[in-house]
Amino acid sequence: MSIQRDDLIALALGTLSSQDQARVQAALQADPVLLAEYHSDIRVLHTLPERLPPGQVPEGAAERMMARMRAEGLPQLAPVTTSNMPLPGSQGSGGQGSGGQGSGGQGSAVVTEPASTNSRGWTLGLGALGLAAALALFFALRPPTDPLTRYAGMPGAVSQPLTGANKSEIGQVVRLRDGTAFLYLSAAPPQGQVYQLWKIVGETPVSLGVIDGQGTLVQDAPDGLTLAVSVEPPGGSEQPTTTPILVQQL
Amino acid sequence: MTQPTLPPDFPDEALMQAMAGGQEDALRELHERYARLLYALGHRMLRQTDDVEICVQDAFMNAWKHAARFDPARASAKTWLVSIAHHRFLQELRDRPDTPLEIEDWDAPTAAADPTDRLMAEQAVQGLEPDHRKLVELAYYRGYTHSELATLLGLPVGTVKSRLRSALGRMKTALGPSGTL
Repeated sequence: MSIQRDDLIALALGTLSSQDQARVQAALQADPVLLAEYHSDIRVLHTLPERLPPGQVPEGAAERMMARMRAEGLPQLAPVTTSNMPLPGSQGSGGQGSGGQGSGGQGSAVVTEPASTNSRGWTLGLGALGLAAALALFFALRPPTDPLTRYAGMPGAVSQPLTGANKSEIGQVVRLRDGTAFLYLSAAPPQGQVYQLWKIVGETPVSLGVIDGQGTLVQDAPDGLTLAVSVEPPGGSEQPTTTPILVQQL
Repeated sequence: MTQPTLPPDFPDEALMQAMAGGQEDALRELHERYARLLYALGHRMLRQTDDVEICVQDAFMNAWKHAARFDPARASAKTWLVSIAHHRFLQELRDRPDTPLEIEDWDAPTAAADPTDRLMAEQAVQGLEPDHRKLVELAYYRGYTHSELATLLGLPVGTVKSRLRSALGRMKTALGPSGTL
């Protein structure tokens, strides 16, 4: 498969069709020299916005983003440990409140006690029990991390089942007060493929993007909006290439 | 509401690592550092303010969710974030029905957020012929394909491609081997 220099530039500019994008990306994975050239293109092109005057950030934008982040949950592929880059003054992954109290209280008190081995063991045992209790409390009190449960638990949220072609339930959509909706499909997409979300305008599907996994937030989900989901190759397609597994009006 | 607790000189790459570990204040700090740049890019690409915030938010959420995939050997955190936002704005442009092809006028900017990075960006485009610069900007900010650019500018597709290749080559030379911001 031959990749032209122009293909790399078009990929960096984001102007390739999804089919060509997949083709070029596959070639990049197989050729470290091409990959390095592509990264170099990316670095150069993305200097361009530096020439723009600073944008106006709307008031409250950071708060709205943080609220959304909390609603959507923790990052994917997070490392098992979070302590390899400790941050001053921070508590680790979302562990505020009960988690912070619990882990702070025990450790230092027990090890500074100049006591016999027995009493030290006893104190350590009490410390371990306290830590376990604090952790239990932390896990009991923290909000659920799966996004569907979190969205469904938000004030004013209304859940609606998603019905597939054979009338079976294939997922849920949770409509929220702010006009957004969280759509969740119960099954993962087939191996090597992705779900792509569409809205139907008239009779035309308009892409709302590839679903990252099984759930996605639909930013503008008014009454009567018709959504569809199809199974597509990685990166998505410009138009559905398979029969949608879901077509449903909100 | 949690307030930022990270020192302002905490490196971007460490912020990404902290985000991968689920540390919320790292995301807030990243927003503090780069929201103005992403809003500037959004306003330039979408040319209105209505959809910019949601796209910027999408970009930050994408970075938050995929921070563990960030590889500092490939690009700086800033470049990575700008590339995510650029992709999202392009998607928004393409979702607009029947957007006509057009050559826009855009006044040269007068002041950017980071003078050092601005200087590097200026260096990168300084050596370009005006028509090459316009071509790169149309491709980058409007997401026009080679054939759309050819139609728009009345040039053969081959000329569009060769000019883009030449322009990128010159920009790389101007930025030097690292080419990083």
